[in-house]
Amino acid sequence: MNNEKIRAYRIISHQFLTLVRIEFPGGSDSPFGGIFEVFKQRNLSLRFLASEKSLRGEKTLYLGVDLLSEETVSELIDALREIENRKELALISHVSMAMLYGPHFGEMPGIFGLTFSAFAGSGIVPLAISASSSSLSWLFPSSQFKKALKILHGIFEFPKAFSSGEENNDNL
Amino acid sequence: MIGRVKASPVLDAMKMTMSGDDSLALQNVLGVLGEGRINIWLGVEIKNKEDVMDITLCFNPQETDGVTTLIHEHYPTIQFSMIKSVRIISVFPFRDNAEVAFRFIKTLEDNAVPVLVLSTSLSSISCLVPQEYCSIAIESLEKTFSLSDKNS
Repeated sequence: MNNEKIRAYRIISHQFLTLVRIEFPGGSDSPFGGIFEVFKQRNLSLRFLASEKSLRGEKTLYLGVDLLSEETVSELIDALREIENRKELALISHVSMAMLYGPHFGEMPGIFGLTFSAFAGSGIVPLAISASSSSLSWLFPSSQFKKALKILHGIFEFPKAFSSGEENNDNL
Repeated sequence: MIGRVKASPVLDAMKMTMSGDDSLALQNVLGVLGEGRINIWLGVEIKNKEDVMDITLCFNPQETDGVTTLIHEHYPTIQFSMIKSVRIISVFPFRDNAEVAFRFIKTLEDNAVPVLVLSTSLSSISCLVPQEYCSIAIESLEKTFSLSDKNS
């Protein structure tokens, strides 16, 4: 890829999220339905959602929701503690997310590596990444949010109406 | 309101595990795949409590030999495993909706569909499933979300 900026259609960011991380041991059933039911009952918007299975079969689930109050965190922990076969449960505050949309990303091999390389070169290691043929999403500690947005704006160009991260905070 | 259930073509998936301290390794792997013009259909990376990165990358089966050759040549010490014949199943739109996520995963669990990876994008919630579970996944999701027309 050359040094020209890559066109993206939209950037959506959420600066203050609470990250819920749940891990399951290998070989166990992971009842994700019960977990999502907890979030559904509380009408929480899922800003980020990703799950991975390690080579050893352990599963990790990440759920990013709008920053929760201490009271809601406490209540959510109580509800999620009831989930069976869970190995670890953690709620991490002050996590940020950036998501880029570009329906042409699937025709641009290397875009995933290019952005990861730019972040890593600036000392930013995302907590999680999700890439599809039309979007790229990253979770960062909030302390790295502004730096990460600056990097993205250095790589991508956006339609003028969406040139600022703040202008793109929305609840699509 | 849900508008569409969609399945990708048959893909292959590569799963890797790396230390979270060694972002350079993943940076290099992604760089090599980019230089090799490997088109990644789905990529998910998550760090667990032990600061270990679990990574899944999906690409066309025609590119599998090229990917494994590139990795072996450039990074012979990296451990990875290949999962042949998987498909990405997506439901549109998602819009951060926990109820859609609940109904999506509950349907797959009720139909014993193994979910290898789960992710969301701006507009969809997606999962990676073995090819042999693709039909049951699509049919059950269409039923759950009351979709009569099939999408593929």
